[in-house]
Amino acid sequence: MLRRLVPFATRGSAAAPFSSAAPTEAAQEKKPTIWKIDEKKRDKLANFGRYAAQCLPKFVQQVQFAAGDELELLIHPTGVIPVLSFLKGNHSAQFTNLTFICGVDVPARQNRFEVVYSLYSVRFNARIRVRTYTDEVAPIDSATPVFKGANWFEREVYDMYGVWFNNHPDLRRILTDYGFEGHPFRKDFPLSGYNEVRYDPELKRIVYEPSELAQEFRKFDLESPWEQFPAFRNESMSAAYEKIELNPTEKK
Amino acid sequence: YQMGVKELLGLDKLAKLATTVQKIGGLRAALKQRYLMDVTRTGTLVGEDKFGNKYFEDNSYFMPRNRWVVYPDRVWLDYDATQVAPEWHRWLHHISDETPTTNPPKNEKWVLTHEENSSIFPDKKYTPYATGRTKIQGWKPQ
Amino acid sequence: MLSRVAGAPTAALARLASTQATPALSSEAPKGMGKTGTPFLNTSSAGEYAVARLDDVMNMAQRTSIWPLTFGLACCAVEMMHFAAPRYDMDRYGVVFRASPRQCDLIFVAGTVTNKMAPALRRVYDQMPEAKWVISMGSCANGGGYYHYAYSVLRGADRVIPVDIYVPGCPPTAEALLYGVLQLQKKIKRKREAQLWYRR
Repeated sequence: MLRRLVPFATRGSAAAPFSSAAPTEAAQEKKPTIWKIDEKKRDKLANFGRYAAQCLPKFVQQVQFAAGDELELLIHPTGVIPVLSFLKGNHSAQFTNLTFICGVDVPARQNRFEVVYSLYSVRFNARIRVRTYTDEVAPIDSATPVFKGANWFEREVYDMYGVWFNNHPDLRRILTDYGFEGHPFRKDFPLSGYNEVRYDPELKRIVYEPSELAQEFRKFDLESPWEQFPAFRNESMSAAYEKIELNPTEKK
Repeated sequence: YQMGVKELLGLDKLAKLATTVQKIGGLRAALKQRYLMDVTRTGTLVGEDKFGNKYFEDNSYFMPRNRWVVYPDRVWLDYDATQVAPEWHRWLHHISDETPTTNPPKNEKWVLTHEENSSIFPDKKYTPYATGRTKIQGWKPQ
Repeated sequence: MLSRVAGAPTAALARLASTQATPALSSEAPKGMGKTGTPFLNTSSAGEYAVARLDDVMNMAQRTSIWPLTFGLACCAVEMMHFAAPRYDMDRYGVVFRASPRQCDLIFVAGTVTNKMAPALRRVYDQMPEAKWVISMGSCANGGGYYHYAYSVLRGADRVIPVDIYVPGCPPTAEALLYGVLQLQKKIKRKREAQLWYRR
């Protein structure tokens, strides 16, 4: 996220604290590789975010911009199908393309898994992300009635994180090995797994055995001794999320 | 480019073959080259290294095939790409255009002499072995 | 570490010097049977001689027409395709890709072997008819490679099949793979199947 904002190293503002204003035009011109945020499009997206929050007040809990102009809707897990079918069917939105579904594991939270749906509107050339949350046992409604392409993505989220999806036509493992136990992308799953060493002895087949690595995974400390982003020293993790105020009088 | 009668009938290729065979040193030598190297070609001798490999160049051939090595007779058919000396390897693989004759390497005292890759000869290859304690240790009756 | 192995030089190997001075070269061009490049020169009886020549013929037939099965799993498969492409043309060595394991005698394990793929690899190897060799290509097939510490990666193809030649690299250049195939040809040339049968 921080890469999208103006880096602190501009002339004469070496120790300027991070401000939430949009980057200045002069700074933008001098750095052609920095993503230029289209202000009109951003405003339109903000308007649409407010409109969606007004249409679905039961489910939409927050609307925010993730990296300057990536719209995100944070919703309650029971609202997956209503929100997605709203976004797909509404004539001023038409997010007909499901780009991906992925999961995020934040073990510190109560509801540790987030499921992220990324949608794209071909007609309006706009993207939106829908995020829900769940914990290890509570299921989420599957998006396959709305988007057929959600089938394999949800299988992957189930396989890697363990998030169960209700009403999914065929929820089983898709990437891991056939008898694999465990959900690898969870943060408490070790990098090298547990029983995952195999060889072919006199039994004349592959066997599984507890892992014995000759040399364990070494973490090298390759960071430079200098601080990377001194201007953002005190910023929190969610500082780059710009919440959209839902009352139109307090426009962002 | 006008095609004369010789080109049309392919006779200029035959003439080229005849001159090549003559330059190699006769029919017998050409057959020996064919047997050892699968090619029939001549080139200018650019240099020779201490193992006896001779290096040739002929820029009328296209790029990767314009420089080649002729291994000495004692290796006969067991030539290997790792038998070329390291200073000639640079020129042979088109890394640079300078041969060790024009740009001799600065021979450090600690540089070993070059040996060919012996990893397929079971008596010569390097076989690693574990130096720690074995996982399974035999039972000693006592 | 600095030991230079001083094995007994055969007629096929160059004798290298230990100093920078001119090397003591053994005799030039081999004579007699050595002209054919055979490694079996010291035979004591007529039977051994016949069997050694039979070995020569068999080895020559096998090494000049190695037919591989592609087991292109990951990025190394592209370098294998480069090996088949015109610059490093493998067809001139007699190496043509066959799709079925029943018809091939070499398997290029090119790419990362995952745990899910390992039984399939073993099964394909078992389906190959007897005189078979394995070239393990790339660092993932050699020993797990870049993904050595991952939970679902087989740490080296030699955990499930016996490997003859390891070609290092990530990916190995097509030239390195070519060199690996030539090394395999040399290895096949020194095979002694008929002579061992005769001795027993």
